Amino acid sequence: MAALMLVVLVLAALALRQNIIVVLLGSAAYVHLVWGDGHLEYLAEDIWISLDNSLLLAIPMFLLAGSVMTRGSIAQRLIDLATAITRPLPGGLAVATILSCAIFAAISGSSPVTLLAVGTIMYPALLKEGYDKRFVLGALTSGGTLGIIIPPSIPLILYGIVTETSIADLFLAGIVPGLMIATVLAGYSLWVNRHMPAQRFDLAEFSKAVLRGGWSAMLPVILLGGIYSGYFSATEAAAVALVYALFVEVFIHREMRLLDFYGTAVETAKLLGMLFPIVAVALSIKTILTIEEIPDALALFITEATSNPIMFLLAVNIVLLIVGCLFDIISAILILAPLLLAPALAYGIDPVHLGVIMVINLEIGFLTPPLGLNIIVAMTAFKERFLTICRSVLPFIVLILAVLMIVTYIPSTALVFVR
Amino acid sequence: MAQILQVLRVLESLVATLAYAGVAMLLIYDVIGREVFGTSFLGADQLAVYGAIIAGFLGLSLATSDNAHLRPAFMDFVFKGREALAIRLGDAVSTVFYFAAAIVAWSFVAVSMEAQDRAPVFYFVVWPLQVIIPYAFLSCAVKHAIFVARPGLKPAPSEAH
Repeated sequence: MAALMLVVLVLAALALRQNIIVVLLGSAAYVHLVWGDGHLEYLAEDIWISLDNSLLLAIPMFLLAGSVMTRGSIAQRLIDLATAITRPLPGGLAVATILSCAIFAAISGSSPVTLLAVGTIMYPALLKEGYDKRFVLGALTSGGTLGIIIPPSIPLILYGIVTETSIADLFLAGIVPGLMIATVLAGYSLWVNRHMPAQRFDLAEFSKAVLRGGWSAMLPVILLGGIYSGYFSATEAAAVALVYALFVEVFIHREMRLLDFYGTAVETAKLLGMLFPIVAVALSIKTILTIEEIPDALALFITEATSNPIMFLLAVNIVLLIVGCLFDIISAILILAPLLLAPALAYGIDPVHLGVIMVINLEIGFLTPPLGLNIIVAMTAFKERFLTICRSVLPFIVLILAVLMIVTYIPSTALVFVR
Repeated sequence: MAQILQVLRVLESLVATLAYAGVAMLLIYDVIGREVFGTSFLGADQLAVYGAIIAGFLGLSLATSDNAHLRPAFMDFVFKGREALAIRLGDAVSTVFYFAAAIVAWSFVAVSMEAQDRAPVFYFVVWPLQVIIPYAFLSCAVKHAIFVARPGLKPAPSEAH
């Protein structure tokens, strides 16, 4: 009865146009009052304790570095670099689109920002070169999602915090699956556009593009190199990312002044203001779930239902794909990760592997109706119908699903760099 | 009322920016100190955490100013055709909610103040930092109350992802 009441209250709040922070804080307060000890001050204390965690520092630093790095003409620089590399391939511009999306998304960490930044430049360019419109829409809408799995990835950081899994290991585990998805999407782009004419490789153009765009493209490489070699933790990597981003924007690209940092910091503060309360409430609810031993009960229930880890992973994938259609990736990870971790451990699944599986599943959620964020952004950016965009991303979803299955059932694809 | 919103926005933006700059400098100082000079600033990450908490809670209020919070819209059909009323009613509910949240958060700070809770490493009392929680909720309540009184001051949704 109390659970039903909670659902009614949440629906009523949503009908009254309440934002996700109010809904989650209200739900957490209800959980504390009904199932907890009845003291709401403890909720405030939980929020403070949850946020008083140095692992969370990685989030604002990566957000800030992403905002600094993606200002100005970075998208154009990366596109020039990718185009110079892929020019000799038939359909090279299409491959360049996927490459640009992958690098830009890894730097910015934002799927819609990537779609807008790369799409604004590449959409007219690809259409002008005679590429099929449906393919172009699909490639741009799907390519942006690569940043969710390619480190540094905010969803992977959140998964690490909520499940107490090493964020550095999660970053390392995201490398191969991220590259696999990028390669598969690029390969598909090459195959679809194999009839397009190839062009001659231009060494002068390539050298110029490396000088202009290489600095930005090096950011993920430096970070992952630092983490892999043990030089710095994920949080320190975030600080290094920010210094590197400021250095490149101020001294190399010369597109940032001190006043610009103010605007960037305010925008990042807003993003953090949207994110931190959700994280704090989710961690507070997790505490109650743990005290009530709900994850363990769920693990017992699932392992009694099937002893087959393959079936469990299949069920996890199906649930996550459905959840990805209906919820945003942050809420989905924060709520589901602690619940799924206990059963996964019971089946002997590595928590790092589970994190990568979760993030790829929810990445697909950016491309699926009704709430696929990239579909909605693409509709607005390219002024196309919802159904047109949905159709355009279908082959890309199938390809990402194929990679998801490989990563799910061959754990070494994710764990190869994890020590 | 527009002036109140503007003053809050400017002050919160300035403090959030300073907090971010502080967080970044502390972390970088720590990394450079350790890797280059072989010594690190003990407790730097703890101070940085406090800076990030302050920036985060001010961000909560700044996102309210810009109507930038995520909002699932699948229940909007309930008030279809009466959007203006729904938005105003929603702001009234948000005002009450955030005001109540500010009171609850203040009671937490009062307990911390009474217990003289201290920060690790530095041992200073933490309640002056914890005040940011009730402040952020109160600021959100004030902003929503202004949106109820003057709906024209509420910006169009601008979800920043």
